[in-house]
Amino acid sequence: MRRAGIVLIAWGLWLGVLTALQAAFRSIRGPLGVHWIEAAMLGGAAGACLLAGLVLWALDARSGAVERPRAVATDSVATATLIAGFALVLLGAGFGLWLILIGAGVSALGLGGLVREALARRRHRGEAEAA
Amino acid sequence: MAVCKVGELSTVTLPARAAPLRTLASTDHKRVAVGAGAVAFAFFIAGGVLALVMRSQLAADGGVVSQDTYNQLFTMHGSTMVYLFVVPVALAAGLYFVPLQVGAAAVAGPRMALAGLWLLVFGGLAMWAGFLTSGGAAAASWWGFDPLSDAIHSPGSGVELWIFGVVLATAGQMLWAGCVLVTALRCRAPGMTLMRMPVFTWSMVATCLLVVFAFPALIVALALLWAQRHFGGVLDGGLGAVDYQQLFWFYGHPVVYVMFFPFIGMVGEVVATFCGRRFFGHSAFILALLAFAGLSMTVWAHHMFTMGQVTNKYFALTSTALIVPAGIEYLDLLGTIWRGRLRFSAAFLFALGFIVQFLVGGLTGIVLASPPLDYGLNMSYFVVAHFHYTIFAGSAFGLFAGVYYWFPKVTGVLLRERLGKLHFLLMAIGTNLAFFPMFVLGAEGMTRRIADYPSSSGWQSLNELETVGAGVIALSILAFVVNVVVSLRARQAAGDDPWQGQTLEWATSSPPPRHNFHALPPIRSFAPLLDLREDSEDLLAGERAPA
Repeated sequence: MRRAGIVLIAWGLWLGVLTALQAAFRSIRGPLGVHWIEAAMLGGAAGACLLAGLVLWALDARSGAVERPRAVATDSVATATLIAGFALVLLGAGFGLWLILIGAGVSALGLGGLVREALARRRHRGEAEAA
Repeated sequence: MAVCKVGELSTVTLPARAAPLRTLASTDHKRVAVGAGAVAFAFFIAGGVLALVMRSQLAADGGVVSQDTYNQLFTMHGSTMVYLFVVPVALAAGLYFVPLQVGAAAVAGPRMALAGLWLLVFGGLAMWAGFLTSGGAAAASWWGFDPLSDAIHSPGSGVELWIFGVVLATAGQMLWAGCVLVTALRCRAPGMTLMRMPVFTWSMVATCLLVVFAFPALIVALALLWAQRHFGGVLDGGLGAVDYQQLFWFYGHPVVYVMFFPFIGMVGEVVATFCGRRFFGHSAFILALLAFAGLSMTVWAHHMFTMGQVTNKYFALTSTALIVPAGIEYLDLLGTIWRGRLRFSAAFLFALGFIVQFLVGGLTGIVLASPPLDYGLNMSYFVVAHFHYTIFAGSAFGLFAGVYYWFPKVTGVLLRERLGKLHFLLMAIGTNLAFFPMFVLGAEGMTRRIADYPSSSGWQSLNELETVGAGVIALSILAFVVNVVVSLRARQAAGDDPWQGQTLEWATSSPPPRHNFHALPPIRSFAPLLDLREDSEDLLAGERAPA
């Protein structure tokens, strides 16, 4: 069993210690004894890291020693298309609805392509496992 | 369709498409990384040209560009170098070499890696498109502080494009970091335990932790800034601008270490290989890296000492405490060099340049970690000198150490050593000419971000010297480009392991096949190839020994 989660758990705990250390410096106003955003950002990062570590630990504990074959597409035009659409949608937030609509159309094309690739991947994995 | 099995990892390859699509949409981590490196290098050249124009302005004591254009230049120079060059190129190196160093057949989340490349491309184009708008590019510095960047003080589309560009590029970097982190933690080959991962891979783990847990703050800050520009009322009030700075610097200081850790990892690999020694203090180095990464998440507000709105004592303590893990890392590097069989290749020279020059940047950082001293030096050229010594004199030298070291692995071709040493010499001279005088100018009171200064100030000769230095740096980069072109045209085959490397990437062909390895050597330490060489030397010694 891999114990990859331990890296995230240890690092999250270290961030937690450093967050707690902030409480020792009570010179600035705020409900936590420090400027609230300082504690919130660092504490949030510590909590998120701990949580990710625990999830990873649980995943590693559940997975077997032998992994199933992973299907990796050699290329993915759909991914590049989806990102182009996403970029246009984002830019559209500043430049108008017309660009958002174009971006949404391109994104839809990309998503369709991803679904097609996922189906092809499943088909090829099935063939490979059968072989 | 091809099935490739490496250890317990297996992959199924879907049928290939036409060659152009393979290049633009490949999910091979090596192709994505090379693409990202090429895009980042193009932005490095563009950002460098902006720097040369700025230096011309300062050497000429004004007159080359207007103050407004100068504001755009330094904003886009800083933004390009941070968001589009150093961070992407650091993560691209991880994307290429971490799967190889841990013996994985592919990167985790190959589509996400590809998405990251295109996010970088679109982000960079959006940012630079600001120059094509009527109001020009963003001019509110690479941090875009509110209210300088709000709709009143920065009208026009330049800041809008800058916000979208930074968000896109940063989102791409977060995807890459996720891929590299999961690869290192969950896709290792049998025998590759956590403590057997090489120093570069560990440096990427520390880097990716910072990216994943600090970079979201930048996206939140920029979303708030965009909302402030369009609707107002978001960052208004007494602490609105301060809160933006808190969010920005929660990203903005960890990013400095994202621009440091990968390069100290590269330098660690180069030093161990070219000294012919096992890396000294491997476990201590790993612990120091993780402690360093944690501490570097807690120092952000030392950029805000002068505001009186942050817990100065806490941030001074954590900023000063950074010297402990940094000292351990330096001790490990020096311990590896000590009594080594040194080979002064171009890669090793750049690594030495990193070690010496980053020290200057690091030690001057202690000055800025002290609030009383920072009150005097904040916003002066001392700060500019400090971060250019860390990021350019340090990390860029580390990057070129890595480039000269790994170029044969990536291309199968050796770079010319003589041109490499010329590159190093010019870059070392240019860097110190360009950036060291800034310490003096800063201490004398020259402030940042001014397009002009009084002729009575006596600063012109030092500014002229800096501009000469910038020109020498440009020449050094030209030498590098010539080296790459010459080496790729008149190819000198590198072979699989031209340097007698110690880590797994040298156990495969140059360049590596699609699934990285046909077979893996036994992994008994963080230097499996050195283990093999030592085994064969022991065997030979045993055969020669008298019965």
